[in-house]
Amino acid sequence: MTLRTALACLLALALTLSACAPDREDHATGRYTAATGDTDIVLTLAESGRGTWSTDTDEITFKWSTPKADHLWLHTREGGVIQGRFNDGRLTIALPGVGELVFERQ
Amino acid sequence: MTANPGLPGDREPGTGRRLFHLKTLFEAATELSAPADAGTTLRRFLPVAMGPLGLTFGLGIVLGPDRLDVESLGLMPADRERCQGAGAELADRFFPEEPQAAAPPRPTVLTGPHLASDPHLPAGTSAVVAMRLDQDSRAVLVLGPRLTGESYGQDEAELLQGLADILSTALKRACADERVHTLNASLSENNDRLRQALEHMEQARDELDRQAFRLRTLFETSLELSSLNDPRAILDAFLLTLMGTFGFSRGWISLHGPQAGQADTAYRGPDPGEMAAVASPDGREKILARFVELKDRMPRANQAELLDDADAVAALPARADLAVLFSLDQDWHGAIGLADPLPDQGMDPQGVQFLRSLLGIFIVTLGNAWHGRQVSQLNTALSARNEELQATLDALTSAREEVTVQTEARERIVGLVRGEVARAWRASWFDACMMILAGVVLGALFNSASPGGIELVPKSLFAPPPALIAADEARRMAEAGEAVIIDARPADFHRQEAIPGSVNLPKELFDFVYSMKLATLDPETPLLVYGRTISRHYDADVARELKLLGHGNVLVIDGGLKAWERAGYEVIR
Repeated sequence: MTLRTALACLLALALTLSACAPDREDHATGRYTAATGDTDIVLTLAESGRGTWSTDTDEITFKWSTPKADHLWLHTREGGVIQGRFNDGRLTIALPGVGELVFERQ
Repeated sequence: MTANPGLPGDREPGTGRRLFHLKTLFEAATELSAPADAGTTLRRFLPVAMGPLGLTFGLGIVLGPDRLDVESLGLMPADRERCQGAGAELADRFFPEEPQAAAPPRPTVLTGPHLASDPHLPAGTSAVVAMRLDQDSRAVLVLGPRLTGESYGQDEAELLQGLADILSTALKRACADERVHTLNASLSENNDRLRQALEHMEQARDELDRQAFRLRTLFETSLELSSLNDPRAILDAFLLTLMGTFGFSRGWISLHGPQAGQADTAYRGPDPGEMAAVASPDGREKILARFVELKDRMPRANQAELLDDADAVAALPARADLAVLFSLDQDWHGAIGLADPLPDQGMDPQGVQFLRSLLGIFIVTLGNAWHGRQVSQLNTALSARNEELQATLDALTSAREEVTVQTEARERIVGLVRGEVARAWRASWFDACMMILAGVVLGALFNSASPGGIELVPKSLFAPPPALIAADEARRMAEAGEAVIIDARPADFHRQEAIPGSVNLPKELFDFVYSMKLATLDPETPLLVYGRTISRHYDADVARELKLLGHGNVLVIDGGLKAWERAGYEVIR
């Protein structure tokens, strides 16, 4: 294998990765709120693909994507994925150990 | 024979005799003044002349080209017949050859004893008078002997000459009258013939006009129909021609194919329902039934037949006073109906012949258009099939080229693989190092770009080991409410089995779950963490994170869930 062939393979791989980059769904961006117990949660999805999960005590940043039209994935800083789903204008997120959180769009 | 124009003799100018002679002439003139034919004139003249002259018989002959009138008085029947038979010959004896153009002379009077013994004249003839009436007619007057036996004196001769003049004049007038009558009759006859000839000529001219009109109609119809290609347009144009030519105010033409629904129809009239009836399957059945009824007269291909049966015409699907059946071929049959004729529009034999001529043009033109449409449809279908064949050929050609390309590519790949396999045995250490380096670089790039990437160097390798707590002590503290047990494994593991009351806090979702479950917890509350596998130490990672958040009393259960189970403590599954 020559160096020129290796560079061509690298370029093709880079192009493939860029083509596989998730699309941003304009309909998902916005501000959502949910309440569970005595905790109020504010979820913000920015067009840049980043978002924030804010409670009274913390504010967590993450990346988000929509692998399907009505699905939402929150990519945590540690590499985990929290799955959510849009239904009738509401966003339902299942958080392990916490349960399902229903967010209303603001 | 001696001519005595002046009758010489004794002259006794007796006044009484002269008066008698004048009266005789007057009576003769009066008697002959009335118009009459030659025979009647002779019959009237003979007694008037014979009496005063004292004659025993008298004979008059009028001879013409196509006539012979013989009148006698006092003559024996045998002598009369003999004179009548020799009339022409007798007359010729007294008329020498004269130029026909000369004016007729005065009558010639012959007297003398020699006449009495002439064998051509009756016995005892005393005088003969010859008269030329016109160019073609002559008259002879033969007078018998006088009762006195005396010859004619001068007075009698003058009287005889005068009577001959009167008779000549009367006969000329009679001949002229007869000629005028004949001419009038001939003229009337000629007039009648001329009138008849004029009538015939008028009839011939009318017939000629009709023939010219029909020929012109045939020509225009042929020209109009030949310019059309659509069978339906031909039906409509021909129907209009028939109605205009033969004076009908309503008409229809229908053409039906072998299948119901294959119909072309033209209609002119006030009732649209008739058009629907003609084009309907029921109308098709009615028309085809008329074909069957004709039997031997059924029109074959390119033929037409007039329907002369009133019941058959009435059974057609639409109203018709004149109906025709026609066929284009064995499958396509049609009918023509014409109704509501205009006044004085009878159909004579020549009109029927004219209609047959028009039908001939119509059928030929319609057949040509019909066959043209079939040819066009066949061409269209053929074009479509050609396009399909061309597409198939293109696809086959493309497939062949693709197969060729793939074959070449396969051969090239096989060649490359074989070449690379052969080359692999000759690969240098530099190549191997480059491949490994590229793989490491690509893996590092992908791991860093992926949100689910792993830590290339686990932090737990460099962190100080966490403080441990035994499982029994952990259970005691949990049951006493002094500590909170935290399951650091992923949620799937936690759902399979877990220590009762433990909080699932996976490292991947640490921030989110912590903010929801532990954010409000007292930092001094002991947190007892468990959960690790052979490859991942979740408990150590979570414990370190908790310490980073300020929790000062974080302990890892020694032995984790296995030690808890071995100690016989409850586990929920």
